[in-house]
Amino acid sequence: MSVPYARSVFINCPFTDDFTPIFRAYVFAIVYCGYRPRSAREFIDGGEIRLQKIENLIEQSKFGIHDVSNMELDADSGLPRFNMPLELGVFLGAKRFGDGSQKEKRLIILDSDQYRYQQAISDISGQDIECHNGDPADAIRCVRHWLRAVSRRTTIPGPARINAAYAEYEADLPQICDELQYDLDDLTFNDLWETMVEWQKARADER
Amino acid sequence: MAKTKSSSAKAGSLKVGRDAKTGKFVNLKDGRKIVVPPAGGALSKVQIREAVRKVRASRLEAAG
Repeated sequence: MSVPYARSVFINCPFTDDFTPIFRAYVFAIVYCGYRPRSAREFIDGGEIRLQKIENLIEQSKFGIHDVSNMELDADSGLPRFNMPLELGVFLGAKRFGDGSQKEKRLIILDSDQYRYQQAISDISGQDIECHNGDPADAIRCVRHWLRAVSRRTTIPGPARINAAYAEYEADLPQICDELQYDLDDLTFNDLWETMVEWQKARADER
Repeated sequence: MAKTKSSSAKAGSLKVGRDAKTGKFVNLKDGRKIVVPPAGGALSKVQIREAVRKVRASRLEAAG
């Protein structure tokens, strides 16, 4: 199934357990704002090379959320993880050198600390960097305000409403997992966003 | 490498089976956990919709 370019939001962020609350918040905010979240985690095809998969997703997405907050050294290897800056670079490259709709790409860069990126990735100092403080509520607020600005849509609800809905969804999620026989602590990306879409539709019909 | 009890399922070009201990799908070659749709295919949108609406209805009922 193809997803419209103008509605696709590519999420570039860590896939570590401690980052899951922020990742879920991003996915929920994107769905609530009427867009389709895209992630390298949506595919199961083990035959496709990972970078190729990411390049395809970036090509198919007008919007990009790039969270560069994972700057700590990996506990096992003692080395930093460079995947997020690499994917940010691919996205910026597509916007700069791509043709047609690729030049219309819009992105937001987020970090957990306000000015840390200036030391770590000084080349992006000219970009607007938003800070989520490691808080899912702030992550939702940043994504909502950004999508409102870049889309110019007037129908996107305010961050307090989205955060209230998110808290409600999180409260319902264990029961939804029971109904679907999903594992709450082992949800795939598709499990997540599809339940979010249906949950938001059900909630809207109640009103 | 994880012990497996079945190798009938496939995901992409990977040969996969279930870990005998955890029951989760793994790559038979290196034991890494992977995700494949459950037997009979992934849940349809209709199934997800019905489950979600059931939960919402019970919550609304509980709230009075």
